Amino acid sequence: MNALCPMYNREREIKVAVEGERTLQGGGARVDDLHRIRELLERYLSPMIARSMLQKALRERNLSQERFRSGDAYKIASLLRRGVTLFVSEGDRATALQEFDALCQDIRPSVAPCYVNITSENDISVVRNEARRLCESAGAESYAIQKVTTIVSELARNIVGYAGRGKMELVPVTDPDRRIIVRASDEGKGIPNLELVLSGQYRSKTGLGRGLLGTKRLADRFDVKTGSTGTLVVAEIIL
Amino acid sequence: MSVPILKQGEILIASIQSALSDRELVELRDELADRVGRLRSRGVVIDVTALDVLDSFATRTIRGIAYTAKLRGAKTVVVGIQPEVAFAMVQLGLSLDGIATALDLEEGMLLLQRWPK
Ligand SMILES: Nc1ncnc2c1ncn2[C@@H]1O[C@H](COP(=O)(O)OP(=O)(O)OP(=O)(O)O)[C@@H](O)[C@H]1O
Ligand SMILES: [Mg+2]
Repeated sequence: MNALCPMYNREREIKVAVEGERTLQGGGARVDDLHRIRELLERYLSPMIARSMLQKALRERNLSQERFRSGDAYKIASLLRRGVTLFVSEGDRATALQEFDALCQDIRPSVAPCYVNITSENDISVVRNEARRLCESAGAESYAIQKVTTIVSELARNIVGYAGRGKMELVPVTDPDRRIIVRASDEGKGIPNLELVLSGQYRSKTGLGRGLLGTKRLADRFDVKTGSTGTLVVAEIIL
Repeated sequence: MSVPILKQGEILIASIQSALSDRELVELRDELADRVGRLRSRGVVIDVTALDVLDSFATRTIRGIAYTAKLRGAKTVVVGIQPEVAFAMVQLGLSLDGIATALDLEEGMLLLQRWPK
């Protein structure tokens, strides 16, 4: 087990008090991302709706305003966009969304890629958790997170089951679009009947025979290179 | 055992509290099989609300639970499959064919109680 995943490049801790006032730790002059979001919401929505939207988003992401880190604001931003679409009056909606998207762009942290060595069954859970964390840091919504974690789970399990050991890389990319690249590699014996497996006709002795084909279906891009010296599966998911 | 199993009359409720590793899922399967037989339960409810993924392994294991329970005369209801989890399952081509599902624990219990003996 070896998870090496620094959360953000510009790690800083900010303390934010619940109502209005805020305390900044370290520097003090830094802009408070959460506060900027709230200001924007309150410009277009009643304070009550703005606050309940924020609280719901924080709860959903398991965050609290008391211990808020750089990058956390971006995690909740994706959850707030729907609320902006729903609650802002029609006349203001387009402008509000434009401003909101610009702000999101501005507060987006650069999320570091993540590498996990897969050597045992336990690492399947490890890499799955890392995948979820990385997706949340990148501001992914629940369906995209589900795609990524499911793919990661299937590929990690195949490594453990058929190659014994291997490596998984999770790489967030923002250009040209926001996506996560999952790379699963091993030096096992390779997949002898890849075409059959991907045709859906394959009958597995060890499982349901759905892992790879399912990964292909869940991913926006999918590629397998396999041979007698190992296997590399690459899946990309647009966030 | 990481998953608490409650006995409510003739029904066993396995309430998964967090994401599970493969080993914990297999433990749950074996424990349920054992208790269904020992306690002569009529029904099993598995609450998967807290499961983070239902991938091919988890699906296979849950099917295994339902099948074993059936051989021992008990019905299984799976409750709490989250919308995004269901979506990923469908894309994977996985299903819980032949296993009853319900929205939440309450509905699952109702379903079992109304089931003809
Ligand atoms: N990394 C790998 N190295 C060697 N063989 C592999 C690898 N991944 C998959 N395979 C082979 O490809 C087959 C299909 O894999 P896939 O994940 O689609 O189904 P499965 O693992 O058999 O069942 P499921 O994933 O549904 O539980 C496997 O049965 C195995 O023989
Ligand atoms: Mg597999």
